[in-house]
Amino acid sequence: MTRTRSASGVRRIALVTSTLCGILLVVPLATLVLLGAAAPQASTPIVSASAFAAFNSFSLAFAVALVSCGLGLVFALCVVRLPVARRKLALIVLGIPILLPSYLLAIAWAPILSPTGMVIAPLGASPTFNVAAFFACAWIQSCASYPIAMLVFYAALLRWSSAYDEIARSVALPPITRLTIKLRWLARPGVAGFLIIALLSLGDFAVPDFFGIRTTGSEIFSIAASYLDARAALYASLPLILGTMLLLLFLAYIGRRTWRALALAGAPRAGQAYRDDARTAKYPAAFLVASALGILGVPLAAVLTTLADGAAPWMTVLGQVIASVDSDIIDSVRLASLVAAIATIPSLLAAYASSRAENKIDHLGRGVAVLALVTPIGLWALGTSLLSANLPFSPVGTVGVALAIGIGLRTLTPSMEIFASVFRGVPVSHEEAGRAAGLSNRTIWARVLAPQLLEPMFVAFFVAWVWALNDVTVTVLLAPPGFSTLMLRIFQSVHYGPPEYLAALVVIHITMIITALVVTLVASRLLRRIWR
Amino acid sequence: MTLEVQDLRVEIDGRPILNNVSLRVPAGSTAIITGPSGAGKTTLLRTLAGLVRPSAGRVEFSGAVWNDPAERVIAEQRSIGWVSQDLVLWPHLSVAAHLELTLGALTRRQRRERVAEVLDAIGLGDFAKRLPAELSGGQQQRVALARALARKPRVALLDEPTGQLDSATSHNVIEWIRKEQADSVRILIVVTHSIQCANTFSEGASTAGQWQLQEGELLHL
Repeated sequence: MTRTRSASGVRRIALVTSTLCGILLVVPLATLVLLGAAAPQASTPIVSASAFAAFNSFSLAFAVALVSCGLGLVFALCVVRLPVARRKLALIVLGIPILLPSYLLAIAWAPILSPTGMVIAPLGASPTFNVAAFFACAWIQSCASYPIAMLVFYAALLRWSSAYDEIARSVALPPITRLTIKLRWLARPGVAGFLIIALLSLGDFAVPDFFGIRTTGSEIFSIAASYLDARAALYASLPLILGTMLLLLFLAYIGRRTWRALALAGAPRAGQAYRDDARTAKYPAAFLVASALGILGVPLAAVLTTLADGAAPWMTVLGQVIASVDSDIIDSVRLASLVAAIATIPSLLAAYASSRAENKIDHLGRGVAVLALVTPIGLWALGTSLLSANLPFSPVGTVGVALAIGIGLRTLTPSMEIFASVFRGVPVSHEEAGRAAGLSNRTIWARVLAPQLLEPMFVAFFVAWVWALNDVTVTVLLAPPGFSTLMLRIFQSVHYGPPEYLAALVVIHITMIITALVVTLVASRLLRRIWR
Repeated sequence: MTLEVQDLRVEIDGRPILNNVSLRVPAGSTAIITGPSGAGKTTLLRTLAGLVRPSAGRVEFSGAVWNDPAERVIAEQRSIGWVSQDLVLWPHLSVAAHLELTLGALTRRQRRERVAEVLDAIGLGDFAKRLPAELSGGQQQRVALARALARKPRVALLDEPTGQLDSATSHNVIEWIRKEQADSVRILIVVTHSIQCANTFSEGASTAGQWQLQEGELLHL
């Protein structure tokens, strides 16, 4: 009997699962023991607290990634069955939650999901606060994250040709085998989506903080906000950083073998998108509308109800609030635009270098960007504030630079991933054809590459813009007294403002995001026609 | 005016693809290279186009060195027309824009006239505003050919140029290519695995000869 080097599928899955669980449990404990012995006495409480917080962070990230991938897969399966014309609209509507800051979603869902809310309280089981808060937190973060998984699965499903089903039927494969083949096709994007969501969730502090769950993000935030102590913040973040690095190393190690075994050879790769209407059905449309209403409509209805319950008519409240925060709105837009402009161009160039890479060193840029995303945002803010203290700018300029660097570095990663996926779809042969036709590099960029990058460029700019607009952590840590953005105002109003004032701020914030989305879509569509 | 290849050697990832390939194609003639899939035909054309850097050997055109260990003329300065077997049409550009883009040296009016002339000649006069995705495979192949030859390159490198054409269209297109060759294109190098395509191109043309590529070695037939 021939022995093969690779393990069987079941063993491989067991290996991955047990290692993930091991990292969740072992890393916080090991860090606690090691740092408890090695760190100065004064830092021991911080380390022990942060080990517990890291456990919470990993558990929450795991739950969020699982729920998001489940939701994303179901939605993607439904969207792909819609008629082509309706798919884009469905994706935009279902993708809106990712544009909303998770903090807003937490505020909006709180009346429903808090221990005294309309869902938990009637259960009568008086669940402990932490358990209820954990599930509420996982659900809200999943609502904000599932669009990532949905887009990843949707892209994979687009490349699934109906011919594969026909061939499988023609050789009389049983339904379970056909399903297994399809699931294996989706395994690789599924793992990628799971990882992205888990890493993003690890960095989030706002929702856990809202529900009183201590995660590494909130620990670092409180340390950074209270003491501006870089060493303490670093100690607090060590369990999370070490765990994440181990996780990434492990996945990189098993990546080649396991992902290749899990996914069909070569699938799914960039190629002609599958746009056949044959599988169109009506029921997904109804399902998607109901889901969009559930995920978006319920919290929005809660916000509007709060607004309507205010003493004055809601339009008046809204008008008063707009008048009182107009300078915040301008500051928010200015900061977000600056950050987006800073993030878009380097990420485009880095993605280009990475996609046309001829050796492994060229891929480093992408790895560095991923590390920037994984690093807890509180640490970024702290590092940026220390760096900006030494910059030769005026105090106002320094804060501007610090904010732009602090937020911009994190926005590089999503922008770069957008461009990287685009460059995978624009093969190098497009440039070669241009060169063979005698076109200069400038013409190739202007007429061949740029028009194909235009739409993603708008999207990347928009994502970076929204990301910066929604940022609380970096802004609250770095902004000087007197400087305020809309999100900061919301953050402060959660505890100190009247509900209708908070609701009005939320409405303004969401309106700004949706307006920017519409402007992006219209502008990209208009400009795309010019090149044709 | 001659294209001369001497002892060309190309390696990709350390694996030899072309081995001591030598070829001489005088002006006004057509070289036809056949061979089975994977023999290195496309790599040879890509090397002549300047898209692949050879590890050894020399390529000269009209006395000027295109490639040798010390020198290299980049693709955009070689005045070539290249048709890839994958066609590689730009998805966002209309048929007319594909051609206009390669005619940057002409005035706008001259460009329009040349585009109309070429598209009429290959039977795509009514498709100027269409995008590649709105064309059939055969129409896309004709657009790729038109893009390669519209600017009257000195050397045309055609990789499976009639692979997606029916016999009648194929005949018309080959007639047009010959006419372009008579007018301006000095050298035509056609690579194909189809004997029928090779025979059609060699009928009545001034052929420099037929070669066969086998496992990286070029054999004169």
